[in-house]
Amino acid sequence: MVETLKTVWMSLTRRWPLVYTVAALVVAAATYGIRYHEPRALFWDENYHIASAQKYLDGVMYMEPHPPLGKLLLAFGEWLLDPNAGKDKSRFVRVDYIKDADLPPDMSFAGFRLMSVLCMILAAPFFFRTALNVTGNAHLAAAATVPLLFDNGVIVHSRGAMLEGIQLFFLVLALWYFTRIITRGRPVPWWRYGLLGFLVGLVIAVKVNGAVLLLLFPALFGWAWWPALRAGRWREPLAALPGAAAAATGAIGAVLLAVMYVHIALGQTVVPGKTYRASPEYLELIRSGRSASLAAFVVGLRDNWLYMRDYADGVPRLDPCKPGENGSHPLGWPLGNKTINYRWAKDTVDGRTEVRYLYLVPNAAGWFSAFAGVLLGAALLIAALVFGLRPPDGRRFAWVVLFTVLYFAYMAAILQIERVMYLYHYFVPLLFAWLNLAALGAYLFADQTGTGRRHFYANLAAFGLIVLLVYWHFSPLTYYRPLTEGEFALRQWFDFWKMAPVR
Amino acid sequence: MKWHWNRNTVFSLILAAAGWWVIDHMIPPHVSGPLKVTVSKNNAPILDVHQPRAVAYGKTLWLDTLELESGSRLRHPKLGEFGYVENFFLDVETVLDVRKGGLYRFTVGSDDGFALYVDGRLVCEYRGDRPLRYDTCSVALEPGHHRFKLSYFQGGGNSGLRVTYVAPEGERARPVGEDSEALRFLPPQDAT
Repeated sequence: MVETLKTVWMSLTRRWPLVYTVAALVVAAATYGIRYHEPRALFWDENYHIASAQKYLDGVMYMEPHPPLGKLLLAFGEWLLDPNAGKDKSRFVRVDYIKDADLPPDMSFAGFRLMSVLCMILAAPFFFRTALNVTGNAHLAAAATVPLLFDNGVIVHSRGAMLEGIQLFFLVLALWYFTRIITRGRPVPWWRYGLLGFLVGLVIAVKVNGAVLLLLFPALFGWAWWPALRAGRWREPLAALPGAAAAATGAIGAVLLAVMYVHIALGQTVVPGKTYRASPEYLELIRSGRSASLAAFVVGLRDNWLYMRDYADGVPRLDPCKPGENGSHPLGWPLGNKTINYRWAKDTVDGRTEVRYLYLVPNAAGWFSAFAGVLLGAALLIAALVFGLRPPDGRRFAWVVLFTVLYFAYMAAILQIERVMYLYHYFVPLLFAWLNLAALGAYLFADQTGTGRRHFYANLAAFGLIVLLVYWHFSPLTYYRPLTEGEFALRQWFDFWKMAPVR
Repeated sequence: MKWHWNRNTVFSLILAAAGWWVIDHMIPPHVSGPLKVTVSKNNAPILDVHQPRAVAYGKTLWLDTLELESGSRLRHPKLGEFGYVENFFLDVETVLDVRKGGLYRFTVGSDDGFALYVDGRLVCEYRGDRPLRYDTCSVALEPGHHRFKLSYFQGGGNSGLRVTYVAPEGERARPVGEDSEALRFLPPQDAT
């Protein structure tokens, strides 16, 4: 028996990448998936997104500010499980914002929340494989995956019918494919740009802030032709550029147009009084049953675009003086400023008042280490650019540069946006920062990652343990478990998080 | 075995500091002291510290000090707030173990009202609702044990309670609950 166990253990240790891939999937299924249909009540943007998703299922035309892939997938989840068959959801198509009172009795959220949860569960193993491609070390990649597996903020948000979980999955998929191309080596044929473009297109088709991944294309092209560029041979890269650019932009464009086509084609009826910005021409095409026609696509695309543009103009700006303002300034996001109370329910039994919360709170260990990592990455980058630091390992350093640049590029772009933004808009750069942390680990501890370097691996284990501890401490706020005021106070770690108990 | 400082050592130290900080912030604060505090949530609005009580529920705590005001809220420095926002009573009981007889001066800052008793005798009070204001009252105490009782109420709005004493020939005010050469505080059941 002992010998058998020993053999199994030895066999597993020879397959660390596979073991960690499966472990990431299983752990993510537990942290993101268990009882995701609870609470049976709306929170945060579900009021909008579920109403929108139902319109696809009922074939009702509507317009919305985000590209429609995320909501299409939310609708797909509801269609797949169909947990609300026979229940009256007619109210959902008549308004754009539903309330708890609009829900049919015993409505299940298992369908609408399915795709967000499923996407994050699948994102975890792909994130590990991405970190593995970057570091080349399974233990280090696993340690870098732990913050994603146990991040209270990402978990609480993704367990709702929201767009971010879906977008993060596609984003991780694109990053994984990008790192896979690099690890496979040169040359990079044009169709790989196309495939990467397809994945980046999926990210953008959920939310436009995914456009930061467009930076992957110059990075990939630069890497692919680096030997020629370095040798001053410009002709070959210039000749390859149109093909690569066409493949990438063509794929992105095809995805966006295809998604818009599905969105427009599904709008087969118009609810009286809910015409959004549809032109008479578009409305006529819908009413004549030609919503899937090319003509409807052309005018529908134009009208949807005009609606998105006008909607963006009407979104309020951040007002820190407004009581109960949930928005926050992007400069505060790396430290978790500010948290959001998505939903709460108070109960008093025998004088003991307990409140259940769904609270968007970061896992401080994961977020703070990510921020420290990007600061260190920026310092190394400045040292190289300004002070002429010659990195001992150029390849590993390049990963640090890539993820640091992606992080700061996203933050710089976000700072230009005037509309109110929220803490969960930080999830995208947070993923870059965690991958940067993995790259930094590989760069700074390159000589420590071999076998027999137990001190380094003990440190990685300790890091994972700290992240896990913090996750456990904040988990009542993530999973809607009751807390007394004193227990809540024990989780108000920083004033700048601006957490407030319900009294 | 010779110890070498290297990047891993620095990494370990950072992790140890982070781990210590995290664990320290996860452990619920614990306070034990000689002050028996009964918190009683009232069913009806409270306008007077002496009004008949309609207690819905309550709890008993043991505190170390009566420095219970921070940011215009009734708060203990470690335990935080008391769980109720409005319409509750706080009754504090302890035993004064007087070692040096003489005139003791108590200063009670309260938002809202209070009533202070020593050996069952009313020493001073402010019966109604008010913002944080201070009252000073003196009482002559012989060496030996004396029962101390303070009733406080919070009606609505801001809240807070600060009670200090100055011993005979004492140089500075100390919070009630903090021992001095002249006076010790004993839990009620320990006093004989």
